[in-house]
Amino acid sequence: MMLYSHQFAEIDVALRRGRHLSRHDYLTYEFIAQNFDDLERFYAGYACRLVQHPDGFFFLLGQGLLPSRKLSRGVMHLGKFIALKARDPELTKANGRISVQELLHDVETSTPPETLTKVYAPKRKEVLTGAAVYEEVLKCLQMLDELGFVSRAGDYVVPREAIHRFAELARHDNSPSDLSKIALEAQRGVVFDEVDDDSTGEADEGQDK
Amino acid sequence: MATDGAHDGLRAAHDVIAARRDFHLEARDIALIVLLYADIESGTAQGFVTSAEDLRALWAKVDLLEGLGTTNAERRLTESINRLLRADCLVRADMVRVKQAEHSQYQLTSLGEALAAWHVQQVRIDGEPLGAILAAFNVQMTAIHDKAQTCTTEPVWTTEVSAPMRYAARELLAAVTRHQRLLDRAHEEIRGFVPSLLKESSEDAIDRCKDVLDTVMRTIRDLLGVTIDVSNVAFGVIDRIQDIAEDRGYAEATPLCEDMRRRLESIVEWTTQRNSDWGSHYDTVHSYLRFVAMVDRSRKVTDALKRSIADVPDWSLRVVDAPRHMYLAERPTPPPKTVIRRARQDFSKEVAVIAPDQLPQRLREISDELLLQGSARWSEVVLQASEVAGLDRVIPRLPEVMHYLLSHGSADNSNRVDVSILGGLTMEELEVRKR
Repeated sequence: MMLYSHQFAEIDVALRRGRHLSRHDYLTYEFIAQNFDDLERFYAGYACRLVQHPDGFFFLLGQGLLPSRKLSRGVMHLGKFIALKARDPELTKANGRISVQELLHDVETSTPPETLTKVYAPKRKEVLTGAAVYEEVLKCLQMLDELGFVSRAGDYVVPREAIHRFAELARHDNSPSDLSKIALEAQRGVVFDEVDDDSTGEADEGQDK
Repeated sequence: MATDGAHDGLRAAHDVIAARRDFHLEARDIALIVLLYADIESGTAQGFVTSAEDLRALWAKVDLLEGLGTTNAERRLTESINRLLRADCLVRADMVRVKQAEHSQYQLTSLGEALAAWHVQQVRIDGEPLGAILAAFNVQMTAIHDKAQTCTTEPVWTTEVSAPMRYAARELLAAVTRHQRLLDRAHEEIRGFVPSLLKESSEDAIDRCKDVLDTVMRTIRDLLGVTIDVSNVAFGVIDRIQDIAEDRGYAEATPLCEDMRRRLESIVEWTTQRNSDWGSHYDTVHSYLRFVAMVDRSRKVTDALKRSIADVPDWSLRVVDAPRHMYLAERPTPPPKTVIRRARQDFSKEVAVIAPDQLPQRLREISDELLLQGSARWSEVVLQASEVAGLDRVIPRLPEVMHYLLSHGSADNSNRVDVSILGGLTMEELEVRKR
C-alpha cells in the first residue's frame, strides 16, 4: 500500500509545507508520477489539488482543509529575477549554476533602490543599500530554497523547473485577460489581490491562513 | 653503469648551480621557436640554420598573434633572441664574429626542438582514443606478464619486468594526459559554442545543438564503458604479476604494482567525473531547450519577465502552508552553568565544627519521661535539666517547657504553690497530668 510507505510520508510532509517537487529528484518524481491518480484522490479528501504543472513539476494547490499563504513581494520579485536569469543561454556554460554573490549584486544594480526598499523591506523608512539589501534578499532566497523553486549548493544557486511558476504572467505579456485570470487563479494558484505591505521576506509574515 | 649515471647527474647538477643557469622564457619566445620548428619540419626553411631575416618574418607572425603593431618590433625580436640564447634553446650558427647583425645565423638546439615539438604535439589531434591507449597498455602488460612467468632471478626480473613496467606506466600517463587535455579543450569549446546556438533559437540551431550534445554524450558514455572494461583487464594482469613477484619474494614489485593501480584508478576516476559533468551539462541544455528555446523563440516571455522585475510585484502565488507536526520528544535540558572562580589567595579558610544545641531535645525528653510516670511538674523538669546544662541556660527556655507540657497534658490548678528550688529560685509550681 503506497500510503504506508516511508517515501509517501516524506513526500506528503514536503507537499504540505508548500514544496515543489521537480525532476532533479528522480526517485521522488518517479514515485509521484507512478502514483499520481492515488495521490490526487488522497489530497482531494482535503479538498486540495495535487497539480502537475505543464513544465513537469508537482505541487499542492491549497484550497480546502489545508491552510495556505501568499508569497511575499520580496520572494515574488526574487523568484521572477531568478526565472529571468534561468532564461540566459550563457547559464548553460556553468551547468545552470548562478553564483549567490553575483545574484545579490545583480539584484541590487538592476533594480532602483526605492523599488528594492518597497519590495524587500516595506516597513523600513530608509532606502535599502549594500549589506541591508543582501540580508533581505538572502532571506527570500532561503524561502525559495525551502519551497523547492531553487536549490542551494554552497555558494551557488541552481534554479529548478518550478522557478518557471514566476513567469506565469509573463506568458500573458503581464496583462492577462479576465478569463485568463480566472484560469490562472484556479489552476496555477496565482493571486491577484493586493499583496499586503506586511508580506516581507520574513518567514512568519504574509500568512493567509 | 648506474653509478656512472648518478655521477654524471651529480656533476651536471653541480655545474648548473655553479654557473647559475636558469630558464626564463616568455610566451612570445616559445611561439617563435614553435614557428621555427614548424618551418623546419615542413621543409619550408632551408636546412637547419635560420637567418636573421627569416626570424624577422616569423616574428611578424608572433606580433600578429599578440595583436601588436610594427612599433619596436626589432627591439622585441632582439630581446626574445637573447632570452632564447641564454636558455640554450637557440645557438648562434655563424661561427665567426659577424660585422653586421643582418648576417647572423641561428640554429635550434635539441632543447629548443624538444620544447617546440612538445607544444606542437599538444594541439595535434592524433586520433588516439582513450580506449585504444589503454588497450595498447594492456598488450604491453600482457607481454610483461608472460616474461614475468619465466624470470628466475631478481636481476632478470628488474630488467625484464620492472623496467618495462615503469616505461609502460610513463607512456600510458603521457598519452592519457595528452588525450584528456584535448578532450577537455574540445568540450570547453562546445560549452562556449552551445550558448551561441541557443541564442539563435532557430529550429536549425536547436537541431545542431542537440546533435553536438548527443555526439559528446555518446563519446563520453562509450569512453566510460571502454575505460572500465579495459582497466578491469589491466587490473587483473597487474594482480597476476604481483602474485608471481610475491611468490618469488621480489619486494620491489609490490610498490610498483600499487603505483600502476593508482594511475589506472585516477584515469577511471577522471572518465567517471567527466561523464558526470557532461551528463549535468546535457541535462541543463536540454532543460533550457524544453522550457525556454522551444516555447519562447521570439523571446516575448523573457522580455515580459524583464519588464516586470522593474516594478513592485502586484500579484502573488499561493502555496500550501500546513502547520508542522508537533515535536513530542522531550526538550533537552542544558547542563547547569557553573561559574568558575579563582580561589582567593588573601586569606586562609578555617573551618570550625560547632555541635548543634542539644538542650531543647533534652528538655522534651525529661518532660516525656515525667509524663509517662503520670504527671510532670515544672520545677522537677527545671531541676533535672539544670543538672545537665546549668540553670543559666535552662531559665530562658522555661516558656518553651511550659508550652510543651501543656500541649501534652492537662494542668492541675489545685496544686499551684510557690516552690523554692536550688536554694534561692522561687517559682510557681505547674503540674501537668497526662491526658
